[in-house]
Amino acid sequence: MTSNLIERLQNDPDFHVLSRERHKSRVFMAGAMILVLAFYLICWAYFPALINARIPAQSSVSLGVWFTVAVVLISIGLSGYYTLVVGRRHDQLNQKLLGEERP
Amino acid sequence: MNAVNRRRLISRSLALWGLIPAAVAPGLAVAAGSVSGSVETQPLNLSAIVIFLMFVVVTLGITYWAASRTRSRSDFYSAGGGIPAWQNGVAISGDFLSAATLLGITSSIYSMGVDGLTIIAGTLGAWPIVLFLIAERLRNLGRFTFIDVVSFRLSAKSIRPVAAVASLFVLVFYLIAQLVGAGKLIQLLFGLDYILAIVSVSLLMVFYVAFGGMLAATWVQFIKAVLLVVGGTLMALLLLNHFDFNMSRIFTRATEIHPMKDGLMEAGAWLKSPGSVLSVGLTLLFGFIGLPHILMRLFTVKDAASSRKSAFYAISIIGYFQLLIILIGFGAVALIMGNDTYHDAQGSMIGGGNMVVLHVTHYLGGDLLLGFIAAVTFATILAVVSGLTISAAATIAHDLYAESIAKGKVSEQSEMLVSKMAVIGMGVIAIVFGIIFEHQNVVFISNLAMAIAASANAPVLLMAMYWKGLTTRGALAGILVGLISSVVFILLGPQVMVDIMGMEAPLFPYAYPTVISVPLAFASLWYFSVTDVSVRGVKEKEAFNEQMVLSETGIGVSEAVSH
Repeated sequence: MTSNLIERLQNDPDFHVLSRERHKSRVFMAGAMILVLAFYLICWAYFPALINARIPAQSSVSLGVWFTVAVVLISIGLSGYYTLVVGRRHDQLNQKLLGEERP
Repeated sequence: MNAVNRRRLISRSLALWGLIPAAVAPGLAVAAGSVSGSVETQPLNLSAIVIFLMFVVVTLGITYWAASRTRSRSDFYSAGGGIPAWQNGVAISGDFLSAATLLGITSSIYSMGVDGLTIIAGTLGAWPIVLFLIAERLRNLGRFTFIDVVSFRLSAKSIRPVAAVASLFVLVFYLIAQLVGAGKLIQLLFGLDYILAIVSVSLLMVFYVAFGGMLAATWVQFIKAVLLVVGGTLMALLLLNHFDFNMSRIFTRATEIHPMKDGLMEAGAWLKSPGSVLSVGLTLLFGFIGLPHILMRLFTVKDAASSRKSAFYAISIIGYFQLLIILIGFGAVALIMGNDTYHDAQGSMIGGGNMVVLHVTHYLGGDLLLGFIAAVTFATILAVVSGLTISAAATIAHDLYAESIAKGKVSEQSEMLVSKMAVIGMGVIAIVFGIIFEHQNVVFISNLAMAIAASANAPVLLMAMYWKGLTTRGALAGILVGLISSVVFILLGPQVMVDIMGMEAPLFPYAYPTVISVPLAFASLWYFSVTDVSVRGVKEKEAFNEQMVLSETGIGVSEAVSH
């Protein structure tokens, strides 16, 4: 690997496309997960009545349990989407870029 | 000693199990209470011993095989980067699913109800952040440790020793906490003497890592994770079968029988103030991002895509297991709460609060299932301490010796020799401190490990990867402020000032200092970087562009060895 190659990559429009794509997806995905976690923790910290609520009212299971299950499922879902859809697209862009640039 | 006294003694001593959950899920350390007392050796549990010996025989065979394939430094630290993504994902889940998850979180649900679920959400919620922000860039920029990444464009001579010390604090504290808990656990489950238990675990740990390196450690972790998930699934199925596969009956029965009644499903039993909720949340999120032994696993695959897939497999397995834990926790309340077989005359649980899973296992599957789960628990501890040891060996031999002291001018053979000596040294530390801390309250030590990981490691790693403005001066300030503030606030907090020193009130109100120490670390990283106008600082900022290309494309990542 030479500094020449790095410089070429830096100036390659495809690199900027890849970089922008990665940046966008990281901000979106990490932002979504942080929002989910923040919502969960803020409910627990400041709105215990919501955590303690039952739906339906006669249920023995409170929303706190369902919120926790939701965090687990959302974590798996977002991770799966990032790994199998977003990441695959990034890999293709990366392979295209490196295929063009390698001597 | 009569049976009641004996049970009381065991019950007191098993508050110590709180340190096991604390090692991964620090919130439980508070719930677990103090760590004190001694444990009487129990009758030999033959089924557990036979199952565990089978595990040891298989893993020793794997170590023999792995030793023949561990020839280079890269083989030793990262299995040559040749572990398949799926296998690494299972191994990562094994690193994460320690005895803590199985025993500790279940016990916290049993005693505190839904508040214990915050630990599940906090720990699992941190994983996707690692996947989105860290997994790929870490693999593209580093070789063996996360310090490779932190020092990529900064002055390695300055950064590595300081970051290595912070990293070693985390690893050694974890190791001590795990081993002290392991000694007690093994004494109770297997009937082995405490010192014999500590020595056995330490020797096996040294053997696995010194001979088989990361390849053996990965396989040990892999097998243990599979056994743990199979055991958890079996327990959940037996539990559901007991309630005719009607989940609502489990929760209804739990609220009927628990002394808290409907309060079992309501917040506030443990996390009594908004500050404590946020403090625990921050500790779990940033602490997890800064755990060196977990981050090191992301180097064992061939490229960034495999690193990403590993993390996803791990998240799926961990998430599945956490859902089982919710079911088992409330199921345990429904089945054994108030059951005289598992409680003494005073109503205390025999063996202490963290015995919930083992008692419900016995209730559902008798001695054989109990033996299986006990053996899996032992295997779990062994696998986790092996992971900690190889990470510590890499930090000592690679970051401190090869890159800091020898300044990179060292042969692979001598670096490997140092890393094996470091493994033996960790074994000695484990035995010595395991014995010294047998009767001590070590909950604060495991909290300290998580707090340092959150405050000293995570902020600098994130900023080094994503902020162009970071300089060596800022990074050093961030690591030191994170390290010192987390230690000071833990010492001023309730677990040391109240629980150990017996004072009425602590100077710092929260058990977890991250609500202060993490923002302090980030502020220091920022301030000391933006005010750094040195020539070196300017060059380091300019070098970010090159780092960016490498981290986004992965060019220059060395070829992996296929295993």
